[in-house]
Amino acid sequence: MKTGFVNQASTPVNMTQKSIPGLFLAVCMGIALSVAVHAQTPEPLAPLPLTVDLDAPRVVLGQRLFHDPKLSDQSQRSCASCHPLDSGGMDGKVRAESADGVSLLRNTPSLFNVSFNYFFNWDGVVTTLEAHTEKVMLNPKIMNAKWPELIERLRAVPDYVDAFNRIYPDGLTKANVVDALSHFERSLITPNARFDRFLRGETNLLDSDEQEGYRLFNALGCVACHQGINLGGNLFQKFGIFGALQGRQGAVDEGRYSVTGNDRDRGVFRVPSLRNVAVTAPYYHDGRAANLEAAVDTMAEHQLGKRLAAKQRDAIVKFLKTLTGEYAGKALVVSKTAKP
Amino acid sequence: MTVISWQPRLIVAGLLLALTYLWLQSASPELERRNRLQTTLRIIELRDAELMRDILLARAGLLANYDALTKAGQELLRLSQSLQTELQPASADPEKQMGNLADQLTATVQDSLVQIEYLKSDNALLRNSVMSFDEIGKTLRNAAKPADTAKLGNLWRLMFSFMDSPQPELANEIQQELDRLAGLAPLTDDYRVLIAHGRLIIDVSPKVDTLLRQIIAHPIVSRVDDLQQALRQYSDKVEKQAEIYRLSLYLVAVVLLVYLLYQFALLRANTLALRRAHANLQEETNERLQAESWLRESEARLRAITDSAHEAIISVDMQGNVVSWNQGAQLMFGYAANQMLGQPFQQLLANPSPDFFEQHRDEREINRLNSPMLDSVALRQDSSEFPVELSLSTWTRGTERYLTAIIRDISARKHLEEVARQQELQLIQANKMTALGTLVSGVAHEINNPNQLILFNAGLLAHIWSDALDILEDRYQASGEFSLGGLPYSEMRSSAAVLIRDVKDGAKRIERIVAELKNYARPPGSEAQVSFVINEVVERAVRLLKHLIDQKTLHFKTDFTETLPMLRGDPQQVEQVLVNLLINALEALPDPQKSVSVATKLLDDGRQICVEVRDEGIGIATEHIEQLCDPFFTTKQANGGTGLGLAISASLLRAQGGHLSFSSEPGQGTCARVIFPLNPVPAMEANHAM
Repeated sequence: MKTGFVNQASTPVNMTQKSIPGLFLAVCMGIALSVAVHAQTPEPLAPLPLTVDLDAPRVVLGQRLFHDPKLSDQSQRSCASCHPLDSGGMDGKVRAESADGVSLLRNTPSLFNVSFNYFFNWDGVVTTLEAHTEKVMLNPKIMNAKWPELIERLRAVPDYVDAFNRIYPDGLTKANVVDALSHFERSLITPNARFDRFLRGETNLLDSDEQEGYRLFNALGCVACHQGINLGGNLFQKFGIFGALQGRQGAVDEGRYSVTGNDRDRGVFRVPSLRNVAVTAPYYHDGRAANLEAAVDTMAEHQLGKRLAAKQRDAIVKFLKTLTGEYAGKALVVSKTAKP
Repeated sequence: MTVISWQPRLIVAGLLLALTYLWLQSASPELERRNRLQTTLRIIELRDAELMRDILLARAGLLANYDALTKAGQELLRLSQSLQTELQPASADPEKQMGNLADQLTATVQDSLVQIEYLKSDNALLRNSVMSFDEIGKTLRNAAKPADTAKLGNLWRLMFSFMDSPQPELANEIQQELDRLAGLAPLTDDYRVLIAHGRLIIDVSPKVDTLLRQIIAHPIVSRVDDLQQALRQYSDKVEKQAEIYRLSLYLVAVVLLVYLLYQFALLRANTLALRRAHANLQEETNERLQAESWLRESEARLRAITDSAHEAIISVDMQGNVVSWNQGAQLMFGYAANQMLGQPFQQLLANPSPDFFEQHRDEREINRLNSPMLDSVALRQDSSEFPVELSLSTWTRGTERYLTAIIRDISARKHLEEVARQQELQLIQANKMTALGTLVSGVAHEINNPNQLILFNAGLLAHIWSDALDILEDRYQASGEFSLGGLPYSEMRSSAAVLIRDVKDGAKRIERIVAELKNYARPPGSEAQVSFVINEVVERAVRLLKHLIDQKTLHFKTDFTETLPMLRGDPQQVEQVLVNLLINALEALPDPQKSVSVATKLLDDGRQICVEVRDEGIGIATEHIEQLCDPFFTTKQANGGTGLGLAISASLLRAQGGHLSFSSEPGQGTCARVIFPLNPVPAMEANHAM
């Protein structure tokens, strides 16, 4: 409530202070004003903030936990095993390797800018970062941790006990482990993408092709779904609106249907963020698109119902490459070792 | 006092407990919670309004992105879930109702959010399709043949009407039109896209509108209103209850205050009473302290008196153990107090009788004995005995009876008594001597008178004889031998003169003896101090004892040192001393063959004159030498010795400034010496006398 809204004026915030009798009037006025404001500056995309305000000791502790294999059942995987921060925050594989080697998992999404998503996992099963963190850790197919054993393992390390005692009044607990990890995950932002700087006013930072790509991105309708600060991550869409895609596996991934159980959610997935998309290949929930060109073509054909000219597609790919930001002051790159 | 003190405390504690309970109830967390819930409900209303606004904007194509919309939706869900959680552990009826309402609200919000998600998806598709349909339509119309233009125009009109009001009939018409278009061959890409988007529009557009209607129809606001209503009812009830609690709170507070005031008054009264009691107590304490100090003072005085007493003051308990021991006792017996306290008293007595105190146990006995003094012999630490006099008294402390003895060392007194007795005896002796002197004077006079007659007549007789001798010679010549006094004259002629002379000599001797007897018996002290020659005194003494000397020894010698300085004093007394010594010496002789000698000499470089009387008698036992001058010490009791002779001699000599000394070898003899110190005065006197 206090954080307000990215693109909306402060009027609704002030309005919250007023009493119930004036509420309706205030709401009406708010709507009217908002309409006026949006009419003047309709902007579907927004740059990432340059910094996030977080508690540094918790971030440091979370970073340590993030890289610690003790968090998994057999002490073989850390969070960083699948989300290496030096290569786009994901493993670069078509599908994530399951812990048991049998289960079929989806493509690993990047962890960068994860805090600007509103739904997590490809099916949006959870809506908070904390719930997501715990879910992944406890997932028997991924890290297979059990809380009592995990806490026991961490307690065996005096450093952890000290660090938790310093930061949290109640010391080393399940909630605090999740809190520290989530804090660290919130710190994983990649500001200063060239496109962000363009949005911030450095209009000559994008060349004509890239600017043409941005225009096409809007004009063709990509932006209808890939919008918001993360260019996605805030809604669901059916994969394959104009003609179903050819499934490559026998088993059909029902997507969001597994969460809601509504028929219309079969084959529906979360619209992923396009930030750092150039360094997070392969693409889609099943990693079927190995490169951006293929991904853009597939999207245009099956989601927008259009076939793109090569020129158009190249412009869009060029535009998408301007979305790569910096982590810890360095631009993200494709990991050379990470291959499907 | 204690009984009184805990009761008010309990009452106050009880009142305070009641007060606390009432206060907690009157300002119970329920009220706070109610406020919180109220606030949450308001925020939910606001979020819902924001959500509706964003949905409308989205539908109108005016919402740039879904971030805010999604966020508002999730926030709404979170709030209603938190409301649900807060109202979940409800037990009371009104709360249960609220919990149910919250559950309904959450369900409604969840439903609404699901539909909002669908709306977002569909709206995105619809917008894209509309945009694409419009765009491709424009392109086709520009490039199409005139025949197609009419058909397209019809489609466009239909689509426009449909967009304005999505009637199912219009949808059917568009569907037919699109089907007809699809039937045309050959079909360009543009047509295919146009048909696809057109179909999507007529498919999705009604769905979007339905969704929108459903979302708007979702009774979130009415649920919130219901909740608010319930909350108001609930809070009214709580408030009413709190009002009652508050009223009770005031009442209890008033009661507590009144009770405290009452206790305060009571306390004040008690304080005053206590202060009075304290003052009295202090006074009493002061008096007691005063008395105590007096007591201590008097005790100190008593102790000082006890300690300053020369008498030993000893207390013993009935077991005979010493319980008090004063300074005098320490000086007398030699034991320190700490040595003696607790020890049996018997060790202090020379002849301890175990029943010494036993016989005094009886109080009457003691009382009877209180006045008289007991004489006993005590024992010092060094085991020396000494005579004591003790007086006993008893006293009791509690049930214990004690006996106190005041013991006086009477050895000094005994000694003095002894001395006094000796002096008395000496006095008697002196009186006797005086009487003897008087008697002797009288006797001497009586003897002297006839003796003078004898002397006179003897002289006369001598004259007569010498005169008569001529006559008698003549007669003898004449008549021859004749008898005279029974003897022949021829014999008588020579011896008669001698006889007469003998008579004269005898008379003279009587005269002298009587004179010396008179001198000896002369009372002492009547003689003034005169200068005398010691040798003369010795000669006089020897002469006086001539008869005894001749009787006792055949070897009497005198050895006078001539030119001795003159002595000053009473020659009579010196003579008396010498007579004593000579008598002793003579009487010590076992037979006449033993000798006695008298000598005078100078001693110690002429500063002393000594008269030495040496005998070869039986001697004196060593242990008796020291006692020789003691009065009444005698070894001749059987022979009528008085034991006074040497004592008097010694005392006389002391008066003269001289002294006696004896040395003796038993069986070999004794040497007695009379020693006179010489001083310049007698010499001057002597010169003066010359």
